[in-house]
Amino acid sequence: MDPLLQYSSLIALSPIIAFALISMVPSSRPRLTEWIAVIGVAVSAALSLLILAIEFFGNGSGISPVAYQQQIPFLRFSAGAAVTLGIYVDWLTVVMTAVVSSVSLLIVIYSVGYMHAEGARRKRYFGVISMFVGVMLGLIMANNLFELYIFWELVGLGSYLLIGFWYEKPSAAKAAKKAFVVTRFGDMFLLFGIVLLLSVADHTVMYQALFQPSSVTALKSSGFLTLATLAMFGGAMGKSAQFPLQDWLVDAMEGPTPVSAMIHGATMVNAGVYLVARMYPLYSQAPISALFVSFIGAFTAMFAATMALGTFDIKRVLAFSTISQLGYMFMALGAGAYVLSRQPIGAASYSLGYSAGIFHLMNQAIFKALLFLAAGSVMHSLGGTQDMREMGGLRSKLRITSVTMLFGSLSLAGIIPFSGFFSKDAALEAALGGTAYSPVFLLIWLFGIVGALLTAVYIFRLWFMTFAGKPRYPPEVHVHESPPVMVLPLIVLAVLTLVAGVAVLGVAGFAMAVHYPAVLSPHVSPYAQFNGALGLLGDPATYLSLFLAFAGVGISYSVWGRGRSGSKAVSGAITSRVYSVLVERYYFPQMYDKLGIWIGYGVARGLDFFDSKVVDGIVNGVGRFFIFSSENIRRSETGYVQQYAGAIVLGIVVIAVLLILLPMMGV
Amino acid sequence: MLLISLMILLPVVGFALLLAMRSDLARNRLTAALFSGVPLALSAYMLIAFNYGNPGYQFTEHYTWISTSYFTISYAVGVDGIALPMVFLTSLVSFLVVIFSWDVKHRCNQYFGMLLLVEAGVMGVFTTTNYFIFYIFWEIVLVPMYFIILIWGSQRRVYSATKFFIYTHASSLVMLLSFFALYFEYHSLFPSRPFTFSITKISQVSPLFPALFQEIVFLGLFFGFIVKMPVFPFHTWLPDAHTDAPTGGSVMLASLLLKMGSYGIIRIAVPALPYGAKYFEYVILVLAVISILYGAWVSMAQRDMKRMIANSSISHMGLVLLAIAAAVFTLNPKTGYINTLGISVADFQMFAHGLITAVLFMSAGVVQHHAGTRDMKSLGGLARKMPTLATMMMAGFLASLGMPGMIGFAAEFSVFYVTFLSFGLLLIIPILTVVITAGYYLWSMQRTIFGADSGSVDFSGIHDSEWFEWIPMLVLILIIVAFGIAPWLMFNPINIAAAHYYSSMAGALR
Repeated sequence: MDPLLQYSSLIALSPIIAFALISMVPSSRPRLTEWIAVIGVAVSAALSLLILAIEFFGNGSGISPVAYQQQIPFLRFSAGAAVTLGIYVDWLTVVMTAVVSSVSLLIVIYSVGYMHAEGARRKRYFGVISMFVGVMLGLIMANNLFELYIFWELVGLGSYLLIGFWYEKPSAAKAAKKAFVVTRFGDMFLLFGIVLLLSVADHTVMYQALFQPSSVTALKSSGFLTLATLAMFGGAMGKSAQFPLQDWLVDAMEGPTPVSAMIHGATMVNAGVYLVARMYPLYSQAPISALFVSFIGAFTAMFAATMALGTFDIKRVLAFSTISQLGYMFMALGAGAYVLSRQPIGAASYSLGYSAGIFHLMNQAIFKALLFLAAGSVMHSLGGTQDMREMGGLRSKLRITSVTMLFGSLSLAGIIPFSGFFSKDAALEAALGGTAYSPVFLLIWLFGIVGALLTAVYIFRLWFMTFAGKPRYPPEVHVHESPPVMVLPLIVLAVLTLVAGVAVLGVAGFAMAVHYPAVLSPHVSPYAQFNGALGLLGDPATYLSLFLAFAGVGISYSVWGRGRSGSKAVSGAITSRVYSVLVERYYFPQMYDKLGIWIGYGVARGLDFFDSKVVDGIVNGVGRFFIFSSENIRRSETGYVQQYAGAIVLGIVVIAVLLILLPMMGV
Repeated sequence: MLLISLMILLPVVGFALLLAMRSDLARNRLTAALFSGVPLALSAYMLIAFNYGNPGYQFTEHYTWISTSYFTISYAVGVDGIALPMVFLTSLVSFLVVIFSWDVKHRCNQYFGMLLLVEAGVMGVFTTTNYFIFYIFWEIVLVPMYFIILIWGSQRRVYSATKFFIYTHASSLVMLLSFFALYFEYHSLFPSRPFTFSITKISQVSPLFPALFQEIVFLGLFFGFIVKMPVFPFHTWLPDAHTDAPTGGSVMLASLLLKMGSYGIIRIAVPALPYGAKYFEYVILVLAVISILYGAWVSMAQRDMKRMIANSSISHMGLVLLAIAAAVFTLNPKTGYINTLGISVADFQMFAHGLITAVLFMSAGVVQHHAGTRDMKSLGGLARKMPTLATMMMAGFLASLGMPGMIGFAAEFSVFYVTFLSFGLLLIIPILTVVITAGYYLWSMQRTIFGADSGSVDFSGIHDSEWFEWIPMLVLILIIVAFGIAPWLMFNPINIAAAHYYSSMAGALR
């Protein structure tokens, strides 16, 4: 075992320590908090990259299948049932922490420039964002589901605080609440799933114990496996914004732009994907759940992409894009799990869907962070507008931003040789691979293909509307490129979009590191399994999706490119009914509001009425009965001795009659 | 050792002293702080000196008070793992309430005196091992709390105080009747043994009482206790009393008085009368689930912040009852077997709720004090004017909605776990509360501390919370976080004590 792994808990702890330190800094020293935050996240990034490098070049011998564990007590219910806190490091952990911490580091550095005008409030920003990164890393490094849930909720808390950073804006406060409540609706199912697993799986939710073939088999025979995996996916749907819980992520744009980059790229939304990947030993034995995951993912991938076509808010386009890309990850993971579940245990050597899903997660983290940060740079230079109708022609003014954003767009659209091409195509191929076992995957694959076309269209629509054509912003706006502290992260990320795909030689190279099933012998290379980097190029389906990507870019160019500033497509004055449905996000926001008002507040008001009128009414009624009856009885207290004497005589007579009558009746 | 007696006696002495003093805020509050601070120090000492390996009663004291051939009433107290968190909670919250009430000017000697008397009564309930003393302390609590609501309360204080007094007093009479039933049944079944009111002695044989007797007496006890908790449909005194009580009174009510009810169930009703508990297991379950969801849902409809928090107490005390129901479900009255995990979890949830709800009521009190209203519709944007308050309030709200890292989550999770162990997939119904609870807390924060400045509150004169307001909240939050990170510190002693305490049932039936 690598000695460095002993310190791996520092990866998660360092930003949390930074958070604690920042909370002790007086608000009059915001610059100090910036430094603490950057250093805190930098330590995590350095350590996780170091571990990644050592393990990667050391062929992973120190890490396979589980490198390092430690634990401390949390709650002990009985001799056999306890929940603990601990650290679990395997390849998935190493890759995820490396991606999350390094992309987060770039975003935090970028924030130093972006949040400069916030003054003393930077303390709160950098404190919370350190905490956010720390708990996300904690989520990845947890060694059991219970601990994962702890960090899962804390990630939700971080997003609540960050989305609501400008809490004085009512819309921000509302969006923060919506993000928390909607994800908590999903979390409820996750909690249910965890409690279920804890109760039926020999009272442990430790990964190592849970993933033993014997306990998976026992779970399967208990009949709870499908329910548990579906319930856990409910949590993933909330956090990773899958249909129908996708809408909060769009409103979450109310936070500062680096926060959006953080939530969408590096941290929060990846949690759901990570959860499914982490639980692969369970999902790969639960075909119904796997199919459900894949289907929801593919549908969301297409569904969210259509909505991206109808919005002019630059950040919202990217938000829809995130939802859609997360869908691809679930599609791939689900398809891989389904294929595994239909094969005899031990027959499958590697799962393409698994590697593709995680690979796409990594690439999405990079290019989505890049796109958001570039969008932030555009907004920064224009003085804050997010409306693409007031942009245009910025290419010459914002050279670095426009080029880096182009890199991000090409990667998202899946154009060779950018990283997004490799991972998205592998995801589609994984879905296509499922057709051998279930015809539903043909539909799933079609969703994915259509989504791929739409992706290229909407992202280049964004790029053309922002950078091409004639300027539509007010002439008095002085456009300027962002400061170096903001541009530098853009350049690093842009280089990564190009390098990440090629450097690891496509999905096959990535699968060298992150693959499932985890085999004990690291010498059996999954690289051969996937025919190397060029394997993809031998597949006709690849050319279809590549063609669609190019076609999408072409469509975008013909509609929004070519400087046609006056066209309806650019100004948004389209009256088509389909279009307005897209603009209204399929009326999902209204539906949520209605649901919230009717099921939440409406029922609450009804019950409150019931409470005060019926339940309390009975109580008050009993009280009134006693007051009323005592007042009536009081009238018999007349003070006349004759009446009292009469009553006594009457009483004696009644008692006498009873005493005589009752024995006669045999009582 | 006189430890426990001192913890009960000192507040009583403080009460007497304060009534004898003139109304002088500076002296009164120092006296009150002294006479609640020393019990807190003693309970801190108790936490250290407590033998965590010993599941039975510790620091016991026993003095015969009345001894005739028919009556023997002994003053007997002791603390075991079940009582330990409650004792700590009582002394802590009482002291913090005294600090929080630092500038209550109106008849302050009496106010502080009443607070101390409540503390003494609650402490007695949690530590005594004698039915008769239990009843005395139980009723002692009622009187000062009645006056606290009546004299220092807000708009509808007369109505609320009267309702609180009559409702809970009537229910405790039923409880007293049940105590007497146990007392006489004990003697009539075992004529050779002397009369006793000892809780432990009676519960050593009471599982052998006839089933019908157990069912009737359990119903009486259960009624007495759930009114105090409170549980649907006997809860309506609570929102009124909490809302109209002064902040200190609300905190004492919610943190301590409600716990007396659930404490009675786990200390007396279930272990003494297993047949009775088993007979009503579905009643307990259904009432618990209704309370959880009903309380949460009704909270969402409230405009008054304090009323919302008061209703949330119904929901959270419902979780306590749910854990008890889970334990009762595992009970076998023939053998006396019970999985006491649910009992431990119930006790732990009581501890958690006591800490958390104190922060909630304090923050509502601060809002009322500084903004002049608790109406959430007319508030808004408080976070900019009162950042310290906003931070504390948010921490409290998050703790209450079960944010991990705070004690509320550990307790809530444990409740759900034992619920699944007993009731399986039915857990999906009570677990809905996590969404509703998050909904009303976040919505109330959106309306009060976030958003734009409210138009109807004059913000010009508003300033942040005073030191005596935020320090108690901060102390509570630190403790909430500490036990949220290491809940086993308190859970383990509860767990072993519960197993030991309930073993008397099997012992009796063997």
